[in-house]
Amino acid sequence: MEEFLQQVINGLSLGAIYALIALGYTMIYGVLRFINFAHGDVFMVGAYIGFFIYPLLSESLGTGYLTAFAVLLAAMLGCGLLGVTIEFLAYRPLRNRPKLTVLITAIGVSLFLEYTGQIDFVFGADYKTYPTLVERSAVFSGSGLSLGSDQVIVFVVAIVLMLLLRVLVMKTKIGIAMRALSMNLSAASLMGINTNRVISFTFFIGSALAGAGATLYAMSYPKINPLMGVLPGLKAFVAAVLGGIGNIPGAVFGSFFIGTAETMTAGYISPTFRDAIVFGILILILIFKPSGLLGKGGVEKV
Amino acid sequence: MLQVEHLHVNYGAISAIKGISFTVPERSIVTLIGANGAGKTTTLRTISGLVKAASGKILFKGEDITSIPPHHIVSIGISQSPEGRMIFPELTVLENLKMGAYRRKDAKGIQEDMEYCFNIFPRLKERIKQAGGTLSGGEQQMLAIARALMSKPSLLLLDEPSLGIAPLLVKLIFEKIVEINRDLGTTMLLVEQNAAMALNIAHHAYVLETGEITLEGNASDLAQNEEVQKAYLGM
Ligand SMILES: Nc1ncnc2c1ncn2[C@@H]1O[C@H](COP(=O)(O)OP(=O)(O)OP(=O)(O)O)[C@@H](O)[C@H]1O
Ligand SMILES: [Mg+2]
Repeated sequence: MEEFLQQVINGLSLGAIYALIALGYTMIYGVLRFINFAHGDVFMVGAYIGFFIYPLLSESLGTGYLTAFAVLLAAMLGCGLLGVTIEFLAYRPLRNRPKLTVLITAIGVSLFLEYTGQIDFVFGADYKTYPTLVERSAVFSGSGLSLGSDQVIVFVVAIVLMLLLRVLVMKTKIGIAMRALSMNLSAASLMGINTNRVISFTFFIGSALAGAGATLYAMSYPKINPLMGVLPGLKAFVAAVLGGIGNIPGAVFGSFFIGTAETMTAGYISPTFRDAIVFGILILILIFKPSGLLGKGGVEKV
Repeated sequence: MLQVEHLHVNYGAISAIKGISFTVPERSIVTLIGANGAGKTTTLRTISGLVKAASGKILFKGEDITSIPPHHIVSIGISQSPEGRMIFPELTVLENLKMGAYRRKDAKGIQEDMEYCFNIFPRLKERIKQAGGTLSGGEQQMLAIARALMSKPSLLLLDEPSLGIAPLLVKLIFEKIVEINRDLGTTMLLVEQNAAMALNIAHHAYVLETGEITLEGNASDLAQNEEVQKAYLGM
Protein backbone atom coordinates (compact mmCIF):
# COMPACT_ATOMS: atom_id res chain seq x y z
CA MET A 1 0.00 0.00 0.00
CA GLU A 2 2.76 2.45 0.94
CA GLU A 3 4.57 1.62 -2.22
CA PHE A 4 1.43 2.23 -4.21
CA LEU A 5 0.89 5.62 -2.57
CA GLN A 6 4.51 6.44 -3.15
CA GLN A 7 4.11 5.69 -6.85
CA VAL A 8 1.02 7.88 -6.95
CA ILE A 9 2.94 10.78 -5.39
CA ASN A 10 5.84 10.31 -7.77
CA GLY A 11 3.46 9.98 -10.69
CA LEU A 12 1.51 13.10 -9.86
CA SER A 13 4.64 15.17 -9.40
CA LEU A 14 5.95 13.97 -12.76
CA GLY A 15 2.49 14.59 -14.20
CA ALA A 16 2.47 18.15 -12.88
CA ILE A 17 5.61 18.84 -14.89
CA TYR A 18 4.15 17.21 -18.00
CA ALA A 19 1.07 19.35 -17.51
CA LEU A 20 3.09 22.55 -17.71
CA ILE A 21 4.51 21.35 -21.04
CA ALA A 22 1.25 19.89 -22.34
CA LEU A 23 -0.58 23.19 -21.77
CA GLY A 24 1.67 24.85 -24.34
CA TYR A 25 0.94 22.19 -26.97
CA THR A 26 -2.75 22.43 -26.41
CA MET A 27 -2.97 26.25 -26.29
CA ILE A 28 -0.92 26.66 -29.43
CA TYR A 29 -2.98 23.98 -31.14
CA GLY A 30 -6.06 25.88 -30.01
CA VAL A 31 -5.15 29.06 -31.86
CA LEU A 32 -3.21 27.73 -34.85
CA ARG A 33 -4.46 24.14 -35.27
CA PHE A 34 -1.04 22.59 -35.51
CA ILE A 35 1.35 20.75 -33.20
CA ASN A 36 4.38 22.83 -32.34
CA PHE A 37 6.95 20.07 -32.47
CA ALA A 38 9.65 22.47 -31.30
CA HIS A 39 7.88 22.85 -27.95
CA GLY A 40 9.97 20.15 -26.22
CA ASP A 41 13.12 21.93 -27.33
CA VAL A 42 11.88 25.26 -25.99
CA PHE A 43 11.53 23.32 -22.72
CA MET A 44 15.16 22.19 -23.05
CA VAL A 45 16.34 25.77 -23.53
CA GLY A 46 14.48 26.62 -20.31
CA ALA A 47 16.74 24.24 -18.40
CA TYR A 48 19.86 25.86 -19.89
CA ILE A 49 18.60 29.33 -19.05
CA GLY A 50 18.51 28.22 -15.40
CA PHE A 51 21.90 26.57 -15.72
CA PHE A 52 23.57 29.71 -17.04
CA ILE A 53 21.74 32.32 -15.00
CA TYR A 54 21.93 30.61 -11.61
CA PRO A 55 25.61 31.52 -10.94
CA LEU A 56 24.88 35.17 -11.78
CA LEU A 57 21.74 35.34 -9.68
CA SER A 58 23.12 33.48 -6.69
CA GLU A 59 26.00 35.93 -6.54
CA SER A 60 23.68 38.80 -5.77
CA LEU A 61 20.69 37.03 -4.26
CA GLY A 62 22.37 34.22 -2.33
CA THR A 63 21.30 30.60 -2.58
CA GLY A 64 17.85 30.58 -1.07
CA TYR A 65 14.28 30.43 -2.32
CA LEU A 66 14.50 33.94 -3.72
CA THR A 67 17.15 32.84 -6.19
CA ALA A 68 15.20 29.71 -7.05
CA PHE A 69 12.19 31.88 -7.76
CA ALA A 70 14.25 34.30 -9.86
CA VAL A 71 15.61 31.36 -11.88
CA LEU A 72 12.06 30.16 -12.46
CA LEU A 73 10.99 33.60 -13.68
CA ALA A 74 14.06 33.94 -15.90
CA ALA A 75 13.39 30.56 -17.51
CA MET A 76 9.75 31.48 -18.06
CA LEU A 77 10.58 34.85 -19.56
CA GLY A 78 13.38 33.45 -21.73
CA CYS A 79 11.27 30.58 -23.05
CA GLY A 80 8.31 32.88 -23.57
CA LEU A 81 10.41 35.19 -25.74
CA LEU A 82 11.91 32.23 -27.59
CA GLY A 83 8.42 30.93 -28.35
CA VAL A 84 7.29 34.32 -29.64
CA THR A 85 10.41 34.58 -31.81
CA ILE A 86 9.94 31.10 -33.28
CA GLU A 87 6.34 31.89 -34.15
CA PHE A 88 7.28 35.21 -35.69
CA LEU A 89 10.20 33.95 -37.77
CA ALA A 90 9.15 30.43 -38.67
CA TYR A 91 5.39 30.05 -38.50
CA ARG A 92 3.89 33.45 -39.24
CA PRO A 93 5.22 33.65 -42.80
CA LEU A 94 3.43 30.33 -43.43
CA ARG A 95 0.09 31.43 -41.98
CA ASN A 96 -1.92 30.72 -45.13
CA ARG A 97 0.00 27.64 -46.23
CA PRO A 98 -1.14 24.03 -45.79
CA LYS A 99 -0.81 22.73 -42.24
CA LEU A 100 1.68 20.10 -43.37
CA THR A 101 4.12 22.84 -44.41
CA VAL A 102 3.94 24.39 -40.95
CA LEU A 103 4.27 20.99 -39.30
CA ILE A 104 7.43 20.18 -41.24
CA THR A 105 8.78 23.62 -40.39
CA ALA A 106 8.13 22.91 -36.69
CA ILE A 107 10.17 19.72 -36.99
CA GLY A 108 12.89 21.78 -38.65
CA VAL A 109 12.88 24.30 -35.79
CA SER A 110 13.05 21.41 -33.34
CA LEU A 111 16.10 19.90 -35.04
CA PHE A 112 17.67 23.35 -35.30
CA LEU A 113 17.41 23.90 -31.53
CA GLU A 114 18.61 20.39 -30.71
CA TYR A 115 21.65 20.49 -32.98
CA THR A 116 22.57 24.12 -32.43
CA GLY A 117 22.43 23.32 -28.73
CA GLN A 118 24.98 20.58 -29.18
CA ILE A 119 27.61 22.90 -30.65
CA ASP A 120 30.42 23.32 -28.12
CA PHE A 121 30.20 27.06 -27.72
CA VAL A 122 26.41 26.96 -27.41
CA PHE A 123 25.39 24.38 -24.78
CA GLY A 124 27.66 21.49 -25.76
CA ALA A 125 26.56 17.92 -26.42
CA ASP A 126 27.65 16.55 -23.03
CA TYR A 127 25.56 16.32 -19.89
CA LYS A 128 25.73 19.28 -17.54
CA THR A 129 24.67 19.24 -13.91
CA TYR A 130 21.84 21.61 -13.15
CA PRO A 131 22.47 23.65 -9.99
CA THR A 132 20.71 22.66 -6.78
CA LEU A 133 18.14 25.43 -6.53
CA VAL A 134 16.69 24.15 -3.28
CA GLU A 135 18.35 21.69 -0.90
CA ARG A 136 16.37 18.50 -0.96
CA SER A 137 14.88 17.46 2.34
CA ALA A 138 12.13 15.08 3.33
CA VAL A 139 8.96 16.97 4.15
CA PHE A 140 7.41 13.75 5.22
CA SER A 141 8.92 10.31 5.57
CA GLY A 142 8.14 7.18 7.43
CA SER A 143 6.68 3.72 6.96
CA GLY A 144 8.09 3.46 3.46
CA LEU A 145 6.52 6.68 2.24
CA SER A 146 8.38 9.89 1.51
CA LEU A 147 7.56 13.27 0.13
CA GLY A 148 10.53 15.39 -0.85
CA SER A 149 10.69 19.17 -0.63
CA ASP A 150 11.35 19.18 -4.37
CA GLN A 151 8.07 17.37 -4.96
CA VAL A 152 6.19 19.83 -2.79
CA ILE A 153 7.71 22.68 -4.78
CA VAL A 154 6.73 21.00 -8.04
CA PHE A 155 3.14 20.68 -6.86
CA VAL A 156 2.88 24.18 -5.49
CA VAL A 157 4.46 25.91 -8.49
CA ALA A 158 2.53 23.83 -11.03
CA ILE A 159 -0.80 24.29 -9.32
CA VAL A 160 -0.33 28.03 -8.80
CA LEU A 161 0.60 28.46 -12.48
CA MET A 162 -2.36 26.40 -13.64
CA LEU A 163 -4.73 28.44 -11.50
CA LEU A 164 -3.25 31.67 -12.84
CA LEU A 165 -3.65 30.33 -16.36
CA ARG A 166 -7.25 29.49 -15.66
CA VAL A 167 -7.98 33.01 -14.47
CA LEU A 168 -6.14 34.42 -17.48
CA VAL A 169 -8.06 32.31 -20.00
CA MET A 170 -11.48 32.51 -18.41
CA LYS A 171 -11.62 36.03 -17.00
CA THR A 172 -9.31 38.45 -18.76
CA LYS A 173 -10.09 40.19 -22.01
CA ILE A 174 -7.05 38.78 -23.80
CA GLY A 175 -7.82 35.31 -22.45
CA ILE A 176 -11.37 35.45 -23.77
CA ALA A 177 -9.98 36.75 -27.06
CA MET A 178 -7.66 33.75 -27.14
CA ARG A 179 -10.62 31.41 -26.79
CA ALA A 180 -12.66 33.38 -29.31
CA LEU A 181 -9.82 33.12 -31.79
CA SER A 182 -9.55 29.37 -31.28
CA MET A 183 -13.27 29.05 -32.04
CA ASN A 184 -13.35 31.22 -35.15
CA LEU A 185 -10.36 33.13 -36.42
CA SER A 186 -12.13 35.34 -38.96
CA ALA A 187 -14.93 36.19 -36.55
CA ALA A 188 -12.24 37.20 -34.06
CA SER A 189 -10.72 39.56 -36.65
CA LEU A 190 -14.16 41.04 -37.27
CA MET A 191 -14.33 41.93 -33.56
CA GLY A 192 -11.24 44.07 -34.01
CA ILE A 193 -8.98 41.52 -32.33
CA ASN A 194 -5.44 41.77 -33.63
CA THR A 195 -5.12 38.05 -34.21
CA ASN A 196 -1.35 38.07 -34.71
CA ARG A 197 -0.89 39.75 -31.38
CA VAL A 198 -3.10 37.22 -29.61
CA ILE A 199 -1.23 34.38 -31.31
CA SER A 200 2.10 35.86 -30.10
CA PHE A 201 0.68 36.15 -26.64
CA THR A 202 -0.43 32.52 -26.72
CA PHE A 203 3.06 31.43 -27.74
CA PHE A 204 4.50 33.53 -24.94
CA ILE A 205 2.31 31.98 -22.27
CA GLY A 206 2.57 28.42 -23.59
CA SER A 207 6.35 28.63 -23.90
CA ALA A 208 6.75 30.33 -20.51
CA LEU A 209 4.89 27.43 -18.93
CA ALA A 210 7.34 25.07 -20.63
CA GLY A 211 10.15 27.16 -19.09
CA ALA A 212 8.60 26.68 -15.66
CA GLY A 213 8.25 22.96 -16.38
CA ALA A 214 11.91 22.81 -17.37
CA THR A 215 13.02 24.43 -14.12
CA LEU A 216 10.99 21.97 -12.08
CA TYR A 217 12.12 19.04 -14.20
CA ALA A 218 15.79 19.97 -13.92
CA MET A 219 15.41 20.36 -10.15
CA SER A 220 14.15 16.79 -10.02
CA TYR A 221 16.43 15.31 -12.71
CA PRO A 222 19.51 17.54 -12.70
CA LYS A 223 21.37 15.99 -15.64
CA ILE A 224 20.65 18.22 -18.62
CA ASN A 225 21.67 18.03 -22.27
CA PRO A 226 20.37 19.46 -25.56
CA LEU A 227 18.25 16.39 -26.31
CA MET A 228 16.59 16.33 -22.89
CA GLY A 229 13.41 17.90 -24.27
CA VAL A 230 12.63 15.10 -26.69
CA LEU A 231 11.08 12.53 -24.38
CA PRO A 232 9.28 14.86 -21.93
CA GLY A 233 8.07 16.80 -24.97
CA LEU A 234 6.67 13.69 -26.63
CA LYS A 235 5.08 12.47 -23.40
CA ALA A 236 3.45 15.82 -22.74
CA PHE A 237 2.21 15.75 -26.33
CA VAL A 238 0.67 12.32 -25.68
CA ALA A 239 -0.90 13.74 -22.51
CA ALA A 240 -2.40 16.63 -24.48
CA VAL A 241 -3.80 14.22 -27.07
CA LEU A 242 -5.13 11.96 -24.32
CA GLY A 243 -7.00 14.88 -22.76
CA GLY A 244 -8.24 16.09 -26.13
CA ILE A 245 -5.90 18.42 -27.98
CA GLY A 246 -7.00 22.05 -27.68
CA ASN A 247 -8.69 21.34 -24.36
CA ILE A 248 -6.92 23.00 -21.42
CA PRO A 249 -8.36 21.00 -18.49
CA GLY A 250 -7.90 17.91 -20.68
CA ALA A 251 -4.18 18.56 -20.96
CA VAL A 252 -3.86 18.74 -17.18
CA PHE A 253 -5.89 15.60 -16.67
CA GLY A 254 -3.98 13.73 -19.40
CA SER A 255 -0.66 14.75 -17.86
CA PHE A 256 -1.48 13.44 -14.40
CA PHE A 257 -2.69 10.24 -16.02
CA ILE A 258 0.47 9.81 -18.10
CA GLY A 259 2.76 10.67 -15.17
CA THR A 260 1.07 8.13 -12.92
CA ALA A 261 0.96 5.45 -15.62
CA GLU A 262 4.65 5.96 -16.18
CA THR A 263 5.75 5.65 -12.54
CA MET A 264 3.37 2.72 -11.95
CA THR A 265 4.84 0.89 -14.89
CA ALA A 266 8.36 1.64 -13.73
CA GLY A 267 7.55 0.52 -10.19
CA TYR A 268 5.43 -2.56 -10.78
CA ILE A 269 6.46 -3.87 -14.17
CA SER A 270 9.89 -2.71 -15.15
CA PRO A 271 11.64 0.65 -15.55
CA THR A 272 12.51 -0.37 -19.11
CA PHE A 273 8.82 -0.06 -20.04
CA ARG A 274 8.26 3.42 -18.64
CA ASP A 275 8.54 5.10 -22.04
CA ALA A 276 6.88 2.28 -23.93
CA ILE A 277 3.72 2.50 -21.83
CA VAL A 278 3.23 6.16 -22.81
CA PHE A 279 3.41 5.38 -26.50
CA GLY A 280 1.22 2.31 -25.95
CA ILE A 281 -1.39 4.69 -24.52
CA LEU A 282 -1.00 7.00 -27.53
CA ILE A 283 -1.68 4.12 -29.91
CA LEU A 284 -4.74 3.07 -27.90
CA ILE A 285 -6.19 6.60 -27.92
CA LEU A 286 -5.58 7.04 -31.61
CA ILE A 287 -7.40 3.76 -32.28
CA PHE A 288 -10.31 4.07 -29.88
CA LYS A 289 -10.88 7.74 -29.10
CA PRO A 290 -8.83 9.98 -31.37
CA SER A 291 -10.56 13.12 -30.06
CA GLY A 292 -9.15 12.37 -26.60
CA LEU A 293 -10.92 11.52 -23.37
CA LEU A 294 -12.29 15.03 -22.80
CA GLY A 295 -12.22 16.09 -26.44
CA LYS A 296 -15.19 16.92 -28.59
CA GLY A 297 -16.28 14.87 -31.56
CA GLY A 298 -14.57 16.48 -34.52
CA VAL A 299 -11.10 15.26 -35.33
CA GLU A 300 -8.84 17.10 -37.66
CA LYS A 301 -5.88 15.43 -39.29
CA VAL A 302 -2.59 17.05 -38.38
CA MET B 1 -19.78 57.51 -46.27
CA LEU B 2 -18.57 54.43 -48.15
CA GLN B 3 -17.45 54.48 -51.75
CA VAL B 4 -16.38 51.38 -53.61
CA GLU B 5 -14.66 52.08 -56.92
CA HIS B 6 -13.88 49.55 -59.66
CA LEU B 7 -13.29 46.80 -57.12
CA HIS B 8 -11.86 43.50 -58.36
CA VAL B 9 -11.41 40.49 -56.09
CA ASN B 10 -9.97 37.11 -57.07
CA TYR B 11 -9.71 33.77 -55.34
CA GLY B 12 -6.64 32.31 -57.03
CA ALA B 13 -7.57 32.10 -60.70
CA ILE B 14 -11.28 32.67 -60.04
CA SER B 15 -12.52 36.19 -60.44
CA ALA B 16 -15.30 36.72 -57.88
CA ILE B 17 -15.80 40.49 -58.12
CA LYS B 18 -15.33 42.09 -61.51
CA GLY B 19 -14.99 45.83 -61.12
CA ILE B 20 -17.98 46.90 -59.08
CA SER B 21 -18.64 50.46 -57.93
CA PHE B 22 -21.27 51.63 -55.48
CA THR B 23 -21.77 54.16 -52.71
CA VAL B 24 -23.43 54.08 -49.32
CA PRO B 25 -24.49 57.56 -48.16
CA GLU B 26 -24.33 58.49 -44.49
CA ARG B 27 -27.29 57.33 -42.35
CA SER B 28 -28.83 55.36 -45.21
CA ILE B 29 -29.64 51.68 -45.62
CA VAL B 30 -28.24 50.37 -48.88
CA THR B 31 -28.81 46.83 -50.00
CA LEU B 32 -26.86 44.61 -52.32
CA ILE B 33 -29.09 41.81 -53.57
CA GLY B 34 -28.07 38.84 -55.65
CA ALA B 35 -28.29 35.09 -56.05
CA ASN B 36 -26.02 32.38 -54.64
CA GLY B 37 -22.42 32.95 -55.54
CA ALA B 38 -22.98 36.47 -56.90
CA GLY B 39 -20.15 37.79 -54.73
CA LYS B 40 -22.08 39.50 -51.93
CA THR B 41 -20.11 37.94 -49.07
CA THR B 42 -16.86 38.51 -50.91
CA THR B 43 -17.69 42.22 -51.19
CA LEU B 44 -18.32 42.54 -47.46
CA ARG B 45 -15.26 40.49 -46.54
CA THR B 46 -13.14 42.73 -48.72
CA ILE B 47 -14.51 45.88 -47.08
CA SER B 48 -13.73 44.34 -43.67
CA GLY B 49 -10.20 43.57 -44.78
CA LEU B 50 -10.48 39.79 -44.53
CA VAL B 51 -9.94 39.39 -48.27
CA LYS B 52 -7.46 41.41 -50.32
CA ALA B 53 -8.70 43.42 -53.28
CA ALA B 54 -6.92 42.68 -56.56
CA SER B 55 -7.52 46.25 -57.73
CA GLY B 56 -9.86 49.15 -57.19
CA LYS B 57 -10.48 51.30 -54.17
CA ILE B 58 -12.58 51.36 -51.05
CA LEU B 59 -13.02 54.80 -49.52
CA PHE B 60 -14.51 55.38 -46.08
CA LYS B 61 -15.23 58.96 -45.02
CA GLY B 62 -13.02 59.97 -47.92
CA GLU B 63 -10.03 57.89 -46.86
CA ASP B 64 -8.60 54.96 -48.74
CA ILE B 65 -9.03 51.85 -46.58
CA THR B 66 -8.39 49.27 -49.29
CA SER B 67 -5.49 47.43 -47.69
CA ILE B 68 -6.05 48.06 -44.01
CA PRO B 69 -5.99 44.99 -41.70
CA PRO B 70 -9.35 43.86 -40.27
CA HIS B 71 -8.75 45.01 -36.69
CA HIS B 72 -8.07 48.58 -37.87
CA ILE B 73 -11.22 48.53 -39.97
CA VAL B 74 -13.16 47.96 -36.75
CA SER B 75 -11.30 50.81 -35.04
CA ILE B 76 -12.24 53.32 -37.72
CA GLY B 77 -15.93 52.48 -37.36
CA ILE B 78 -16.90 49.60 -39.64
CA SER B 79 -18.20 46.37 -38.18
CA GLN B 80 -19.83 43.31 -39.62
CA SER B 81 -22.46 40.77 -38.72
CA PRO B 82 -21.11 37.96 -40.89
CA GLU B 83 -22.86 35.34 -42.98
CA GLY B 84 -23.76 32.32 -40.88
CA ARG B 85 -23.56 34.57 -37.79
CA MET B 86 -20.21 33.19 -36.55
CA ILE B 87 -21.13 33.42 -32.90
CA PHE B 88 -18.37 32.17 -30.59
CA PRO B 89 -20.18 29.00 -29.53
CA GLU B 90 -18.45 28.37 -26.21
CA LEU B 91 -18.47 31.98 -25.05
CA THR B 92 -21.51 33.25 -23.18
CA VAL B 93 -23.81 35.86 -24.67
CA LEU B 94 -22.14 38.44 -22.44
CA GLU B 95 -18.64 37.40 -23.48
CA ASN B 96 -19.65 37.49 -27.14
CA LEU B 97 -20.85 41.06 -26.66
CA LYS B 98 -17.67 41.99 -24.81
CA MET B 99 -15.64 40.70 -27.74
CA GLY B 100 -17.66 43.02 -29.95
CA ALA B 101 -16.37 45.90 -27.82
CA TYR B 102 -12.81 44.57 -27.90
CA ARG B 103 -11.16 47.76 -29.10
CA ARG B 104 -13.04 50.10 -26.80
CA LYS B 105 -11.77 51.37 -23.48
CA ASP B 106 -14.76 53.50 -22.38
CA ALA B 107 -16.37 51.18 -19.81
CA LYS B 108 -19.33 53.49 -19.34
CA GLY B 109 -20.06 53.77 -23.04
CA ILE B 110 -19.77 50.01 -23.41
CA GLN B 111 -22.28 49.54 -20.62
CA GLU B 112 -24.72 51.98 -22.24
CA ASP B 113 -24.45 50.30 -25.61
CA MET B 114 -25.01 46.93 -24.02
CA GLU B 115 -28.16 48.29 -22.42
CA TYR B 116 -29.28 49.50 -25.83
CA CYS B 117 -28.70 46.04 -27.31
CA PHE B 118 -30.71 44.41 -24.52
CA ASN B 119 -33.40 46.97 -25.12
CA ILE B 120 -33.86 46.08 -28.76
CA PHE B 121 -33.23 42.36 -28.22
CA PRO B 122 -34.62 41.55 -24.75
CA ARG B 123 -34.16 37.85 -25.45
CA LEU B 124 -30.41 38.32 -25.28
CA LYS B 125 -30.66 39.77 -21.80
CA GLU B 126 -32.58 36.71 -20.62
CA ARG B 127 -29.81 34.50 -21.98
CA ILE B 128 -26.84 36.53 -20.87
CA LYS B 129 -24.99 33.63 -19.20
CA GLN B 130 -25.92 31.06 -21.82
CA ALA B 131 -23.27 29.74 -24.25
CA GLY B 132 -23.67 31.33 -27.69
CA GLY B 133 -23.76 27.93 -29.37
CA THR B 134 -26.90 26.93 -27.47
CA LEU B 135 -28.99 29.85 -28.80
CA SER B 136 -31.54 29.29 -31.56
CA GLY B 137 -30.67 30.48 -35.05
CA GLY B 138 -32.77 33.62 -34.68
CA GLU B 139 -31.26 34.45 -31.31
CA GLN B 140 -27.79 33.92 -32.73
CA GLN B 141 -28.62 36.41 -35.47
CA MET B 142 -29.73 38.92 -32.86
CA LEU B 143 -26.50 38.31 -30.99
CA ALA B 144 -24.44 38.73 -34.16
CA ILE B 145 -26.05 42.11 -34.83
CA ALA B 146 -25.76 43.20 -31.20
CA ARG B 147 -22.12 42.08 -31.09
CA ALA B 148 -21.36 44.10 -34.20
CA LEU B 149 -23.06 47.14 -32.62
CA MET B 150 -20.85 46.87 -29.54
CA SER B 151 -17.93 48.40 -31.43
CA LYS B 152 -20.09 51.52 -31.92
CA PRO B 153 -19.76 51.42 -35.69
CA SER B 154 -20.75 54.25 -37.97
CA LEU B 155 -21.13 51.70 -40.79
CA LEU B 156 -22.66 48.29 -40.14
CA LEU B 157 -22.25 45.52 -42.71
CA LEU B 158 -24.97 42.88 -42.53
CA ASP B 159 -24.48 39.63 -44.41
CA GLU B 160 -27.78 37.79 -44.96
CA PRO B 161 -29.41 38.30 -41.57
CA SER B 162 -32.43 36.33 -42.88
CA LEU B 163 -30.42 33.18 -43.60
CA GLY B 164 -32.02 30.05 -42.16
CA ILE B 165 -34.46 31.89 -39.91
CA ALA B 166 -38.24 31.52 -39.60
CA PRO B 167 -40.16 34.21 -41.54
CA LEU B 168 -41.66 35.77 -38.40
CA LEU B 169 -38.24 36.25 -36.85
CA VAL B 170 -36.89 37.61 -40.12
CA LYS B 171 -39.57 40.26 -40.00
CA LEU B 172 -38.66 41.12 -36.41
CA ILE B 173 -34.96 41.35 -37.18
CA PHE B 174 -35.55 43.60 -40.16
CA GLU B 175 -37.70 45.87 -38.03
CA LYS B 176 -34.84 46.08 -35.54
CA ILE B 177 -32.41 46.95 -38.30
CA VAL B 178 -34.62 49.89 -39.25
CA GLU B 179 -34.91 50.83 -35.59
CA ILE B 180 -31.15 50.83 -35.09
CA ASN B 181 -30.68 52.91 -38.22
CA ARG B 182 -33.23 55.42 -36.93
CA ASP B 183 -32.10 55.47 -33.24
CA LEU B 184 -28.34 55.52 -33.70
CA GLY B 185 -28.03 56.88 -37.21
CA THR B 186 -25.89 53.87 -38.09
CA THR B 187 -25.30 53.58 -41.82
CA MET B 188 -26.12 50.08 -43.10
CA LEU B 189 -24.91 48.00 -46.00
CA LEU B 190 -27.25 45.02 -46.15
CA VAL B 191 -26.49 42.01 -48.30
CA GLU B 192 -29.45 39.74 -49.01
CA GLN B 193 -30.85 36.93 -51.10
CA ASN B 194 -34.24 37.74 -49.60
CA ALA B 195 -34.76 40.65 -51.98
CA ALA B 196 -38.35 41.35 -50.95
CA MET B 197 -37.40 42.01 -47.34
CA ALA B 198 -34.28 43.93 -48.23
CA LEU B 199 -35.96 46.20 -50.79
CA ASN B 200 -38.68 46.85 -48.28
CA ILE B 201 -36.39 48.48 -45.72
CA ALA B 202 -33.57 49.85 -47.89
CA HIS B 203 -33.33 53.32 -49.35
CA HIS B 204 -31.13 52.41 -52.25
CA ALA B 205 -30.36 49.08 -53.89
CA TYR B 206 -27.84 47.41 -56.17
CA VAL B 207 -28.26 44.11 -57.97
CA LEU B 208 -25.15 41.95 -58.09
CA GLU B 209 -24.85 39.16 -60.67
CA THR B 210 -21.76 36.97 -60.91
CA GLY B 211 -19.46 39.67 -59.68
CA GLU B 212 -20.97 42.58 -61.59
CA ILE B 213 -23.55 45.20 -60.73
CA THR B 214 -26.30 44.96 -63.30
CA LEU B 215 -28.94 47.29 -61.88
CA GLU B 216 -29.20 49.99 -59.30
CA GLY B 217 -31.73 52.48 -58.09
CA ASN B 218 -34.08 53.64 -55.45
CA ALA B 219 -35.19 50.54 -53.51
CA SER B 220 -38.90 51.08 -54.10
CA ASP B 221 -38.29 51.66 -57.83
CA LEU B 222 -36.28 48.45 -58.08
CA ALA B 223 -39.04 46.55 -56.33
CA GLN B 224 -41.29 47.63 -59.24
CA ASN B 225 -38.71 46.70 -61.88
CA GLU B 226 -39.88 43.81 -64.05
CA GLU B 227 -36.53 42.05 -64.26
CA VAL B 228 -36.06 42.27 -60.51
CA GLN B 229 -39.56 41.01 -59.89
CA LYS B 230 -38.98 38.02 -62.15
CA ALA B 231 -35.51 37.12 -60.98
CA TYR B 232 -35.58 37.99 -57.28
CA LEU B 233 -39.12 38.51 -56.11
CA GLY B 234 -40.61 35.38 -57.66
CA MET B 235 -43.38 37.26 -59.45
N1 LIG C 1 -12.57 31.08 -50.15
C1 LIG C 1 -12.93 30.96 -51.45
N2 LIG C 1 -12.11 30.33 -52.32
C2 LIG C 1 -12.46 30.22 -53.62
N3 LIG C 1 -13.58 30.69 -54.14
C3 LIG C 1 -14.43 31.32 -53.32
C4 LIG C 1 -14.15 31.49 -51.94
N4 LIG C 1 -15.18 32.15 -51.37
C5 LIG C 1 -16.05 32.39 -52.36
N5 LIG C 1 -15.61 31.89 -53.53
C6 LIG C 1 -16.31 32.00 -54.85
O1 LIG C 1 -16.55 33.36 -55.11
C7 LIG C 1 -17.84 33.53 -55.66
C8 LIG C 1 -18.63 34.51 -54.82
O2 LIG C 1 -18.89 33.93 -53.55
P1 LIG C 1 -19.63 34.70 -52.36
O3 LIG C 1 -19.55 33.85 -51.17
O4 LIG C 1 -19.08 36.07 -52.28
O5 LIG C 1 -21.09 34.74 -52.92
P2 LIG C 1 -22.43 35.21 -52.20
O6 LIG C 1 -23.06 36.18 -53.11
O7 LIG C 1 -22.16 35.64 -50.83
O8 LIG C 1 -23.28 33.87 -52.20
P3 LIG C 1 -24.34 33.33 -51.13
O9 LIG C 1 -25.62 34.06 -51.36
O10 LIG C 1 -24.48 31.89 -51.45
O11 LIG C 1 -23.77 33.59 -49.79
C9 LIG C 1 -18.46 32.15 -55.73
O12 LIG C 1 -18.31 31.68 -57.05
C10 LIG C 1 -17.65 31.32 -54.78
O13 LIG C 1 -17.58 29.99 -55.21
MG1 LIG D 1 -22.78 35.02 -49.05
